[in-house]
Amino acid sequence: MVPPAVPGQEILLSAGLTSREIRVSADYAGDEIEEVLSAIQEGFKSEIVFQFRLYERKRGFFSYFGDRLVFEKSVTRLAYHDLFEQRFVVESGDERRTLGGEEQFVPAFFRLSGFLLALIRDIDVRDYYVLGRIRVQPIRLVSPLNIVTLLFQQTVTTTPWQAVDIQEQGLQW
Amino acid sequence: MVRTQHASTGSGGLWALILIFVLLISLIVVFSQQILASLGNPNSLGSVILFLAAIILPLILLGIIIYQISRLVQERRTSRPGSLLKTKLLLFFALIALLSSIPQALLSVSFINSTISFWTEAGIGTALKGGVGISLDYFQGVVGSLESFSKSSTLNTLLRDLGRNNDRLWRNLQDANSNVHFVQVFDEEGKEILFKGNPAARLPDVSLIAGAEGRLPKEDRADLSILRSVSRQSVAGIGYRVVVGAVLSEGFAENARRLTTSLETFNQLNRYKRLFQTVLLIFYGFFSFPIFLLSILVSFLLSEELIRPIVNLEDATRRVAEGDYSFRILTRSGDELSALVGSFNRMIGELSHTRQQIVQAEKIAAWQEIAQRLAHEIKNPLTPIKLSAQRILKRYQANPGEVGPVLEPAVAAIIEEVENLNKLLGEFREFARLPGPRPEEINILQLVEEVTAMYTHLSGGVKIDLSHLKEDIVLSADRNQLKQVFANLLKNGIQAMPGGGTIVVRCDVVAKENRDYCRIWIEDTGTGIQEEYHDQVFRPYFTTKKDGTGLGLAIVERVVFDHHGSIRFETQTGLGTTFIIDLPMES
Repeated sequence: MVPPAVPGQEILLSAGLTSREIRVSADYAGDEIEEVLSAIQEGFKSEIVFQFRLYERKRGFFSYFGDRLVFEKSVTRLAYHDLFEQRFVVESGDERRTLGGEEQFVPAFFRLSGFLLALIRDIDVRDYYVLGRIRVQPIRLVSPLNIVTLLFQQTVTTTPWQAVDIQEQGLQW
Repeated sequence: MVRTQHASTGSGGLWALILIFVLLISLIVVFSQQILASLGNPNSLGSVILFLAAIILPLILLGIIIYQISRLVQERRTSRPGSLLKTKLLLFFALIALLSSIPQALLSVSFINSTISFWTEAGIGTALKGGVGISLDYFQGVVGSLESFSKSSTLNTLLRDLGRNNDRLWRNLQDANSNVHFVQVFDEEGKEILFKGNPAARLPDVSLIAGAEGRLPKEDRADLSILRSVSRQSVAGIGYRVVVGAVLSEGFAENARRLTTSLETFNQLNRYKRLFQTVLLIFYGFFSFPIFLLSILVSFLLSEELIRPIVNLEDATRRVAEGDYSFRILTRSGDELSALVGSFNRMIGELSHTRQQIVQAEKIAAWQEIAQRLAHEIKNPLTPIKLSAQRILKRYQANPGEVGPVLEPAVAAIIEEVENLNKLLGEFREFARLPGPRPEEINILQLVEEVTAMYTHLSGGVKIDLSHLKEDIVLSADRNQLKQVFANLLKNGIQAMPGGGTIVVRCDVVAKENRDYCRIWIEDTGTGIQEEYHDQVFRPYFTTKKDGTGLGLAIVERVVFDHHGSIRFETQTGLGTTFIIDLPMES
């Protein structure tokens, strides 16, 4: 069960260890959900990018040089409304899901559950942590219109990086 | 020996600028064709390169231009030859670049605006929405027709021919609903009983529709889209699962996708039109500003290239004016300036040749004049010598005993005239054999004091004022020759003031044509030099004095010239004369 978002918190993040797999879950809790729904209904495509980084904590003298980036992965989802089928469609890579209503679409688009971030062997997870952030573009601009995002960042919302410890007992949600 | 100077060099800078220009154009082409597509992602390589190119390149060019401008300002301050012309050329080129880029910018902006306005005009949007609407209507019409037919009793009635006359069943189905393009019937066990129609729509297995009833989601294939409606039918007490469907016209899905994508693009363009125009203008500035800067840099190089031969010509002309006829300018280009340089070189060659001839002629003329004057000067004492000798001889022939009273004055006159002749020949020898200067470090004040000490006994009522001489001026010159210069000038000054007066000697360091000179003023308050003698003052054997040889100032001028200096005088009858000597500080 996803915990309720704290006001002002735009990303809910969880990381857990399950039989040598570090899995992460992320849920977007920002203000752009309504904007995305509205844009999709108007015939636009929306995009969400989940970005995750696995860091190793450095201790003692080496901590001055910062923690070590071990791994980085991202998931990109594209959503639109199929006018002919009157259904929401969420695409990610080769995967394509059709969803009937908003109540099904919102979690399918804004929530990423149990994503495999890394396979590990014989490590102490307390030495590691995960950073995550979500980038939401309610209207995914086509080329060459997308150059406006270079100078006008208001077309894209990016949450701050949020850090979570890796739970040894697995994902919380 | 002929020395040369290149009139045209430094084309490496121009090549470097051409290279930068080609690089810039390539970047623009690559950006416009490939990288522009990936710019939406701020972390993309294209964005990084763009920002590097858009910020660093103009900064580099701006830095170079600022450096060049500061150099030009410095050149103007030091009055470097050609700097004014270079500034004018630069302003001219910059103005041309500006004048040509302003209409280009206006045209580009207008073109961008009109293109975007054209693509976002209401007609296109309406047409796209209409196209999507027609597709939707068609699609929903087929879907609705299949659904209602699938649920209708007509289908059940027609299915009575199932197994008995399948062909008639299929014909009747098509007659009953023209949207039905195929029919597929499975029994309760999932076994296919019948398939009629477009074979591309055939389901291989009943499991694909397990549990489904009513309309199935549209199936899109590479070149066709299939709509199906599933219903349960009972014929003669036996249950069947009947699939009726339609195969949408070839390319429907692709065309519908294109329509919806175009409509989406149109709506995006419409919504972000202003932002897009602003970004395009900023991008235009990003790329056109470096090109403008580049054109300014090219202007610097071109103006440098243009003025270099002119500056060289000016330099060469100055050298020639200073008497250096050995100077030649080399040029590699084949333009009009090269022809001008060639003409200049030929002119200098001819001038040098003519000058040599003139010098030779002047030498001959000078020696002829000297010979004439020498002959005249020698002849003058010969007459009293001859007369004295004749007088002695005449007295001796007339009365040998009374030769005594005549002998003494006549012999004295002969001796005096011979001494004069000896003095004349001595000074001539000194003038003719004057050796080249042997420079050494000389303190002017000390040297003048030494010379003044020698002439104190001759000065009579003349006061020599050295209080204006600076103590620390040291120049490189021949000590003895310089002593002679001061001695002759002081002697002249003393002789010009028989009733007494003051000679003031001053000196200072002055800069002339990037070289330091020691300027010496020797002022007397004597009678001055009459105007008709001004041109002859330094001429050998010219003198206005009764016992002068006319070689004193000629020796002064020659010593000064041998030291690569110059001498002139300012005079006013009755007030005095000032001789001004410029001697280079370094020999």
